[in-house]
Amino acid sequence: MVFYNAAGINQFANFSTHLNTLHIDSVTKSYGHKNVLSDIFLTCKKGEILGLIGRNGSGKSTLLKIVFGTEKPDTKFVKAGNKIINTVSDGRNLINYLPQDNFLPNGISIKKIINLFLEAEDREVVMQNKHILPILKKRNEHLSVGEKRIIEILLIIHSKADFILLDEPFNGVSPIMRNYIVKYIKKLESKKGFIITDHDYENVLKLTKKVSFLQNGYLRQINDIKDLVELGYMTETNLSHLSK
Amino acid sequence: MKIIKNLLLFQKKIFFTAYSFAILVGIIFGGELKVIGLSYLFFCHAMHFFVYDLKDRNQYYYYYNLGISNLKLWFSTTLLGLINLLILVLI
Repeated sequence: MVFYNAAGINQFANFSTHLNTLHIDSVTKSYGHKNVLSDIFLTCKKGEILGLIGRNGSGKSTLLKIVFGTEKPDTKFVKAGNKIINTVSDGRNLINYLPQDNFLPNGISIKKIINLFLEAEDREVVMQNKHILPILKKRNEHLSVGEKRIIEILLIIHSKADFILLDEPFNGVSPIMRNYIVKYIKKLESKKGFIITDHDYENVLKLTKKVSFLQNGYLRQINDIKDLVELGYMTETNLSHLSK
Repeated sequence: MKIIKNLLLFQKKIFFTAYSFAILVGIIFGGELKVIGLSYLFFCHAMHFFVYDLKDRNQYYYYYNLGISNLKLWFSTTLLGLINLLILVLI
């Protein structure tokens, strides 16, 4: 049986879409007189990757932290599925966030961190990963920046959360590992919703064509990559390099 | 259970240093167990602030991603300090 509302819209289809959506609305943030974010609206569905780009200091990380619940906004409305997210506790198993810098605890092995962070059914796939196997017995503080980044990314995207916020995932990672991360995220695209911000726009554009540009506190949907030249984010040289 | 194990991991970084300071202060002030317990209650909060708010601030994100808020982490520090004080008073 299918339920239709007065407008003839399938109610179940609407409800299921609603449950699979991260709804970000009315996000504003200012520091003193400077408006960093002005009435930001963004939606991300499960099975979707959104790219968020912008110049340094444009507020990309601030926006992700507000959505995650660690940064206090002036106003915000964030809803994951049918749950309103105000704090990190509200977003448990719904939203996870990869910060720019290393966040894993020191003093214990990577194997123990995997066991403590992930649910039993998600551990094996991470432990058997070809890049993780050699470092399982090592401690976080003994890993290189790139090794730390790959374990962090795997932990976050294999967590139970439906929506993953990645803040500069390619930071400090070699080009070959960047390709690996792009392929890995693509592989899991159907299971989760991703919002990715990174200055490595080439890899962000490899991941998604749905890109938004944050400038002067406003979010603008990018329909054509050429718009980024007009907006002063990249040069014609960057663009021609990208089209090769 | 996963949350408790992670809270213990969080407290492990604070516990030994804070307890060392507490014992030292306890000895200086006559070696009474109650004094050690009260000193630990002070030093566990001081170490919490020093280790996580000043030194390794980013490590909070590990716990945030598990749904453990800052408030819950501070509460766990206070609770552990009070349990320790209670045990030392009752001995």
